[in-house]
Amino acid sequence: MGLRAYLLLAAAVFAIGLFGVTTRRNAVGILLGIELMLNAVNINFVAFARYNASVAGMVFALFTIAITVAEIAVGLAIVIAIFRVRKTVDADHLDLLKG
Amino acid sequence: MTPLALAVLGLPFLAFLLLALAAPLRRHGRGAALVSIAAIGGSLAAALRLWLAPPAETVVRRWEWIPAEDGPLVTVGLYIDTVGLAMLVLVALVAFLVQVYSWAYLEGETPPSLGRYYTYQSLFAFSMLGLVLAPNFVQMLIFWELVGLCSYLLIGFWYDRPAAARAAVKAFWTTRLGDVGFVTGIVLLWRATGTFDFATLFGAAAAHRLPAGLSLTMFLIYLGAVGKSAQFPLHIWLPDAMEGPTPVSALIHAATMVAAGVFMVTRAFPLFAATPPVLGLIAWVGAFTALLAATMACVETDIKRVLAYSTVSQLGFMMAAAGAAAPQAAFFHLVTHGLFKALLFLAAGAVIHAVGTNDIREMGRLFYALPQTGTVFLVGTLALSGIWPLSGFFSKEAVLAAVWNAGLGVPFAVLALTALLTAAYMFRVVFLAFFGDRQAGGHPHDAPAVMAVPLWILAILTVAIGVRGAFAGEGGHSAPRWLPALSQALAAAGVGVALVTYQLRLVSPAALSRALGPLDVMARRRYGLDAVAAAVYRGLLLGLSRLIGWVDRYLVDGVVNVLSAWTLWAGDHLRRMQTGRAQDYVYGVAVGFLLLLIASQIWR
Repeated sequence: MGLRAYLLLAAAVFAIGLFGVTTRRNAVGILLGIELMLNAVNINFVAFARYNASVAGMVFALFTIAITVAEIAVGLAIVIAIFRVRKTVDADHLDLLKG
Repeated sequence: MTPLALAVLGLPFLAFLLLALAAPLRRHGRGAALVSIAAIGGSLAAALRLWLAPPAETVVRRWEWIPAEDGPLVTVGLYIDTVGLAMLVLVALVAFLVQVYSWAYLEGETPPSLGRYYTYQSLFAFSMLGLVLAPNFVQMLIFWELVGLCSYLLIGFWYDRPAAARAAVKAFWTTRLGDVGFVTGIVLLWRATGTFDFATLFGAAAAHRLPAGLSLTMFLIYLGAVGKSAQFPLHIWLPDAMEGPTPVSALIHAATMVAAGVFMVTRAFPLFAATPPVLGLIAWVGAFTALLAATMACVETDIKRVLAYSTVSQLGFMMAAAGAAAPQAAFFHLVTHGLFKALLFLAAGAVIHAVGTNDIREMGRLFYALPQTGTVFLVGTLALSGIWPLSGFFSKEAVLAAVWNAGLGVPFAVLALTALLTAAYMFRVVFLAFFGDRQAGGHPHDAPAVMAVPLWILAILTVAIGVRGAFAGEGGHSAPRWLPALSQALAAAGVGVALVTYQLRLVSPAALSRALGPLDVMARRRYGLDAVAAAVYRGLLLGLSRLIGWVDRYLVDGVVNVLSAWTLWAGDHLRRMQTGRAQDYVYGVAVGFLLLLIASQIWR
């Protein structure tokens, strides 16, 4: 399998993630979509690291994983906070910034 | 030289600034009065110092104001010559005396109101002195407008009286009408010669290097003087200006500001001399104004209005002299008239202060109740009537001689008739108010010393200038030998008419007015000129204002309103794009990024 296959896989995962982010009603679902998009990036990093024989990409992938964990922790905390206030996590109803 | 002249100009200005900015001082009233009087006193001292040691030749100081490529476009500065210095002393002296006099005359005013009065007085003194010292037309115009503003403010000093407010607006509008000509003339003159500067212009005039075809330009500049010096047909504002306090009438509407037009013509005389048709017009209009105003003064019953018409009439004399190519005669009459007319106004103020009315029909035998005021009023009246050896005799004779020598026969006859009328209407006032057989009501008494001293100073000066003229002889001008006798005969005839009609009652005034018939009726109606002016104002000016108002309201404002309506409409529609849902924004970012990506592939 060449680099192309990995990149296609990453693009597919990214597209699925973006689709999830833009279409899911549930805030937790949106967070899952974001997770998919970040993992697509990780696949790209690792694939390029492998084919360029450089460790830098892998280091970045590790960083991304760590930051993703933090992001999910913050994201879920926000979702819980919203749920406590609004009694819902439906993204369609979270439109306080409506013009 | 320069520091002294700047002190003359600067002291009243500093007083004005202090009073305008330091509100507590202004509202104190008496304190403000002291500051203002001290400033004008210092200014008078500096002016006297300059006058007693006059420069051998004209001193011109210039500072650059508006720079341009080839030399400054406009300068500011000082123009000090003997005429200017005499005017400077006259203005500072009368302003000082009037401010002292006002201290007592306006004692009934509230402190803030008194402070306001002295603030305006200081501004006026500064503006008038600046006008006299101006070395070019632009600076003169600025101060010219400033004195106009002060005149407006002081006529409307009692602004809660509708008549005063109306008179102030009328004065402002009427003089402004002349000023339109003045400004246009100045700009045209600049286009023709490329300079505003007096010294440069006079140099060109002396060397006959002025461009041809300046008649229209000088006529327009003369229009400014027509408005300011109340020449026919713009004389209508001056009698109404008597709604202001009497000291203001004495200072602004008798001695100084109204003489600014005459002063401007004498100052710019080398330019007027280059345009004989305009000069002739000035003489004819001046003579006509003199007669017209004198006839109106004969039938007026308000003591201040009589004096106002008399001022218009005497300004006509001055203009006639200037038009007869004798600016020195015009200026001589300006100075003597400034002194004795200020005296007459201040004395009239003392009379009004004592009896509480302006109407001469309600006065009588005041000479016995007010001996001091009566004496000085009589001195002023004799001077105005041109009786030897008072100052008015010499200046009026100089004017008449100049007009005769210029070969202006008809204007000379008109002015001679006016001289007769002058004596008649002034002695009418004297006989009605100060003598006669009717007793005025109440217990009038002479003015307090603060008011009396300025009166005596002016009276002494009026006599002194006359006596000096009598000793010095015929002041150099070549008057015909018969002229003094003629002017004395005319004055005596005028006094005689008044004596027979109003004192001895040999002829009843009613019979006299019947004999004069239509002329009397017309004079009483002011020849309908006020009505014509009012009609023009209402029809033309207000009509134009309404038109401009409509354009402003519906065209100019309309464009702005349409623009703002469009903005509101667009905003209302764009608002709906903001759903407030985070997913829609993410969608927007993704689609935008895709579009950019596609665009970058197409326009690679």
